[in-house]
Amino acid sequence: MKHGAIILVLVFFLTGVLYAETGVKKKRPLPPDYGRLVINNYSEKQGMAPVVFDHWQHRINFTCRVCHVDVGFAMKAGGTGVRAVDNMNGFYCGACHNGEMVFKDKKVFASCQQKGVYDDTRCDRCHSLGKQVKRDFDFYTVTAKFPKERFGNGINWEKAEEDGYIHPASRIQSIKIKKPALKVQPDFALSPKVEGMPEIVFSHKKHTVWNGCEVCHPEIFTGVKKGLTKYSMPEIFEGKYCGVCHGKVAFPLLDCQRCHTKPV
Amino acid sequence: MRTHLFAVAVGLIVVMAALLHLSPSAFSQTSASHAQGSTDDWQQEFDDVCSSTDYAMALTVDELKQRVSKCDSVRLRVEALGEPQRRVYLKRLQSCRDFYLFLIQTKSDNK
Repeated sequence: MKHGAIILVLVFFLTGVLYAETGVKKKRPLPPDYGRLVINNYSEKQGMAPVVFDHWQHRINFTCRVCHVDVGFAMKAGGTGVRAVDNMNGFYCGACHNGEMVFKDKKVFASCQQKGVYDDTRCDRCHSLGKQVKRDFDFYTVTAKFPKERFGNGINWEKAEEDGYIHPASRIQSIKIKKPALKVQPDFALSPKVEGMPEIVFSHKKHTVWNGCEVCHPEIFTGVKKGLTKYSMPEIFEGKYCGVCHGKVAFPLLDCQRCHTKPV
Repeated sequence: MRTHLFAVAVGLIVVMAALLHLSPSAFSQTSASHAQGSTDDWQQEFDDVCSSTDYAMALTVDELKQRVSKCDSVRLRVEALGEPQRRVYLKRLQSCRDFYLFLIQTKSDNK
């Protein structure tokens, strides 16, 4: 009887250890890995390694709207369903990675090219999951002088632009659409539900310059009448509303003071 | 008189046939440039309608409705394109259209 109780305790203890090992707690990604996507709509089915996409490397050079509005990438990982043939025809990754575009005096490497031809030096640059691929740019070297933040990539991207470390372009050569200067909408404050919590000051300027309007409206934010939509932190943590970007690519939700800025 | 008219008609037919025979490329080029022209047309229309999203807040409800109609007419032409163009531009067009509709709704609510 006594032995049975000891065994039972041991079983409970070991189960606890096992759960702790496999982990239900979300591990915080390292700065270079924050915003990293693995795209595997068709890769493995075609015998290729999935694509590893680093947001940091692209956001240094381009605003979000270039890719998510003009090029047409979905806001959800894997939501676009990019095919090699799309890239070959100059769409999606192929809009820039076409072997012709010159950016900062350097030719941008070509993505998928001839069908059925595998060129490991080129293909592996993107189809790199599980491979030891040497990158052209090292995160820590590139961002060494950038203003720092506590979470996410550990970079304050907004300040990095203000201080002139980055100059994200809002247009690319292959997309001819010409847009007039963006009319910036005024900032506004949102009152939090929790008493004593600083108010949220939403910077329309920053969001529209980087994202354009149609990234957020109406897909992410369906209503703009003040007070009509009740945003809750649990929903945002689940990836709704602000959580579509913040927590995945833009600064994470742990950084409360970045949004809750206006003392009450 | 009748013989003369007949001779002129035959002559015209011969000249046209010779032209066709000698320079078939000229005709195919015309049709190719026409096709190119129509491709550019839809692209131009697409660019026109989707380039106003950035200042769409300043447009009136009527102007926004015009753009929604234009999106619908461009859509018909984009739907006739081959893949992947069709898929890419339909998605982009949809986001423009949705944004204009969203603004119409917003402006109507605020009245």
